[in-house]
Amino acid sequence: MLDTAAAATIDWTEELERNRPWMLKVLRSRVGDTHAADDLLQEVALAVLRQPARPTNPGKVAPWLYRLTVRQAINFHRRTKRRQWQPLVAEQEPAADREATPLDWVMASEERADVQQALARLKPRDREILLLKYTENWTYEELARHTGAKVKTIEYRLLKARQRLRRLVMQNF
Amino acid sequence: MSKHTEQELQIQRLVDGELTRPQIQQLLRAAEAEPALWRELAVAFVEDRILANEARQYARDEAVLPAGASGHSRYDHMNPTAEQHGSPSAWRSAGLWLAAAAMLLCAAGLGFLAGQGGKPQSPGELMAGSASSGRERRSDQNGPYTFQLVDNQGQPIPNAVLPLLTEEAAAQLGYDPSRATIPAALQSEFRRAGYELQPEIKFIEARMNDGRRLSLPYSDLKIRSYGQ
Repeated sequence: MLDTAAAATIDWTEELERNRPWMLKVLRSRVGDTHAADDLLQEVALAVLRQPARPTNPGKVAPWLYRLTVRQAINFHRRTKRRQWQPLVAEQEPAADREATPLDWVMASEERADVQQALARLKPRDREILLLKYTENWTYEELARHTGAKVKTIEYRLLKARQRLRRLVMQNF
Repeated sequence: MSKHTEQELQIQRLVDGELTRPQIQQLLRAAEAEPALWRELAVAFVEDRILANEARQYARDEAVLPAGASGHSRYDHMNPTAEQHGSPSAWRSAGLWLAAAAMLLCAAGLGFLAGQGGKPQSPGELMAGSASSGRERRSDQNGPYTFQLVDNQGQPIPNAVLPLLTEEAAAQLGYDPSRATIPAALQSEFRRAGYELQPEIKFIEARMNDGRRLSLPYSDLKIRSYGQ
């Protein structure tokens, strides 16, 4: 529910500060540049303040901020006309005939650099959900609440992100 | 959804701590009947451990900043004020002063931020050459409200209590919102000297004397050499 008059009851400066760490991770995952992400966070803050209608329900704040954050990342790519990190590689089908299994990639991930490289080459949405999961330690429910997605969607996105990561690690193996 | 995918999801839920006790028992009973499932469960836990470590390391390596730790730009090392004072926060504070000056007092340039000396043709010297401070023009005006500028950690910036002026009052002080903070001629000089100017809007917070907070957009200008 959006209500301009009642929106004043939420302290948006506090909200921005409280949500800042995960918003920064979302931006970092999507733009692939720490400094650009930091700058974009400023733009998100501005965008929040410019919005004529903001959510009044505290439970809606996080998904609303998530949408604004993602929109800023998309705008950034439009402005810079830059492609995200090697998406063509990330979108490739695995070279192997069969799907990479967890065991395959566990064996392959002995080389830590391979996993790090694979994380860097993942599609931004996949990298985003894995980083939020492991660095914020969020449950599915918390991930869903922050991103505005359903729990089922979160589960599926995590599964797919892990599968794609396995493939990328296996490509280097 | 295929049976295989559903099983993968169940294993993922187990590893992620998302299953209830009865669901865990059910999965373990299924593993008893299907030994290959035990192996998958074990590998999934190892995979999760590796991924957790690497994801956290990745976030650290890529310097995802903690709350309130922002503000260091890759351009800081090219910033004359940061160089001369040896502290990025000096530039940040100066930037806030700049913002206030630009918005309220229309300081004609950035000269008061730039110290003496520096390398020839550095951004600082270029700015210093066009210095024209407006700071002294603010103290004789008191609006009904004042506000305190704060830094990115929310700490008040010393002596940064400024009056909140109406547009008319600001105009009497010479504030012209259409006027560029850095004159076009100086910008041209920067470009000729090999610097790229990257203007952008940023945002600062100010606290008014009645407790309310203002969110103030201000123009920021990043300066970098073409080679970087």
